[in-house]
Amino acid sequence: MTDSLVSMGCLPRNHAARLRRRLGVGALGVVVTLVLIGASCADAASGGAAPTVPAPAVVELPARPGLALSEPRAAVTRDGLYRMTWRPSEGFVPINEPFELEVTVARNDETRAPIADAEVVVTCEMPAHGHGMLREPRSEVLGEGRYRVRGMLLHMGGHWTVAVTVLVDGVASTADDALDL
Amino acid sequence: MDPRTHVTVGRCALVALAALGVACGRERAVDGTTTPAAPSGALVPEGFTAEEVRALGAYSPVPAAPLDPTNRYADDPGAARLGQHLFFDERLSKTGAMSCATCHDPARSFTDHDPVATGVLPLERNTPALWNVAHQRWFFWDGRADSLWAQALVPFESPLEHAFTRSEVVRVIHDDPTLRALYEATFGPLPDMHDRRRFPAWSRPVPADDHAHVLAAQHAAEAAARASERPSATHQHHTVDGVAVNDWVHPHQRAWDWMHPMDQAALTRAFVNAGKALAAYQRKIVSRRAPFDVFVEGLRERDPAKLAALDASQQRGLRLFIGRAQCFNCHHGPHFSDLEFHETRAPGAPLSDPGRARGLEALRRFEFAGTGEWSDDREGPARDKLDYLPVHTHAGREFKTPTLRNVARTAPYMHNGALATLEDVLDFYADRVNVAPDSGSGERILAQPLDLSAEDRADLVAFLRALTDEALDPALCAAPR
Repeated sequence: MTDSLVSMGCLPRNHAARLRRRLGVGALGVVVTLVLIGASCADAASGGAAPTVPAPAVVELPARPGLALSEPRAAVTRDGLYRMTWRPSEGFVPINEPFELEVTVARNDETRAPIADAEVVVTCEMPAHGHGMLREPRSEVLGEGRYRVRGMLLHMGGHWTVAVTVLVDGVASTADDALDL
Repeated sequence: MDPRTHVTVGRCALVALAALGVACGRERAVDGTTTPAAPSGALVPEGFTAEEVRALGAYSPVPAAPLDPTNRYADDPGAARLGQHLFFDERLSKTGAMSCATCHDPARSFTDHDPVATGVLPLERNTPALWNVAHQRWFFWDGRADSLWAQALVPFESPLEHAFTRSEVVRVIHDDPTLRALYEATFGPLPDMHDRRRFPAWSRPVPADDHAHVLAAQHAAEAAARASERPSATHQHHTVDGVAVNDWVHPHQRAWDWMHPMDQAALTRAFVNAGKALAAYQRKIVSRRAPFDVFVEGLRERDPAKLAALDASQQRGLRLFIGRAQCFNCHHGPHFSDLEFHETRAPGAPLSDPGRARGLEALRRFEFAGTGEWSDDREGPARDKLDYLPVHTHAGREFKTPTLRNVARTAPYMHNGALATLEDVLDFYADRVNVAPDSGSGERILAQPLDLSAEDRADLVAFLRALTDEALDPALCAAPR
């Protein structure tokens, strides 16, 4: 019991040993207390004989809506040539706030060789709404197949398609993904 | 029993009761997990789902106004006091009878209740209210200004609105002892406006192809046709023996061109400071404690008394707003607006008004843009905001989503003021009758009628009325004494 109280944060650990030593003497008190707890918990669990008001449900109330994405998303381009990953720089895609993406591009073969010095374009559309972003993000090369895309802003919640296009030697390859904000 | 035993028994009982207290303080959440009873969780009132309650966290409270690095005087009390004087000063117009407050009347919730505004000449669009205006991302219905201080300058020199010039704005401040003292205490010395050779009357740069000037010319032509008179000097061109003379220069531009570039810069600096003072004042026009906000406080604090701030009809309207009626798609966040642009196909909207598409063009050549020489921070958030604007605009006639804070007090509605009441707005979105022609780029989600009963619509209107909080300090609603 003392271990439980310590783990619940109700009893400092250095007081627990002292309490254990005294439990033998104070056993009656413990028994009385446990009876009281048991009675209370039985009431709480079963409703008891008297009518009780059920505890109201509670939820967290986040002030900043969006989607947490701690792990990178991965997709292969439609032509099968490249494997792309992308993740929001802060691990979170906010609704209606600017954010950045980190994108990696590699060959979709056993070499997984990074594609350096390409151009990456990200476009997002809301099929249900008939429009896309009201921004045109641009990318910068970070090296070793990594790119940063600046200027992202998804101004509404809902279903967004995400098209990540890489331009290699003038040829575009696009990978498709989607987000539900 | 040993007295120490009594003590020990008592301590054990207290520890156990403390444990019981913790257990009873844990409340069951809707997902079956237990949530600490600390005030980090919100109540789920009867009739609401957990998801609905979670969504409300993004709608309230209204945060503090965002910093504006492009205006280093944004939160300067002296600048705000000067700005308040300027806001109510009717001398700052061609007629001497029109101030910012003429259209943005505090007694009318900082609007005018007319379908479209009327300055010196009629305008095309409805006067937006100014509640929480410092939170806006873009200004005007088409977003052709990117800061509050820059927006404040445009109406002065618009031939449709104040029809004034920057030289005369600065001259009014210069010649009024109170305004001049307030100005110079904050911004430093004014240019010597007594020197009429350096600072000629009615001087300003006249932007080429500016839409307000095009409209003003149309008004003048129509007036001339009605009076069977020759066009006046407000025209951009005149004719000699029926041949258009293309080297015509607007008199304001001609006076401007007489000035030395350093005097032009000094005059513009003082004009810009007037705009920054007006912005500092307008940042104080705040609405943040409507019954809806009290209701959300009640959710967070689990306070039944605060939950009663919304009656049953308003609570049903709120659930519709964030649910089946789909209002939340565009009207989300603490201002009930995404602060961006959509084509709603408002009834009677002139097809000649392209909205955001023209706003973007104007913004790219805007003299007072946040990345321009008059900004106090060209490379900060203003750069991020402007650098990624779309180059490839589509054909939609898009207008900014208005805030719904105090919406019950800001009729009529839509960018052209076509709908007189909130009930009309609900009917328009629900039934999609009298919609303007489709540009092909309209909000597709608005195309389908909504299945809203008469009771649903009444509940939604009741909820919208619960966004009302006009409890502004009366001292801010008139010129300072």
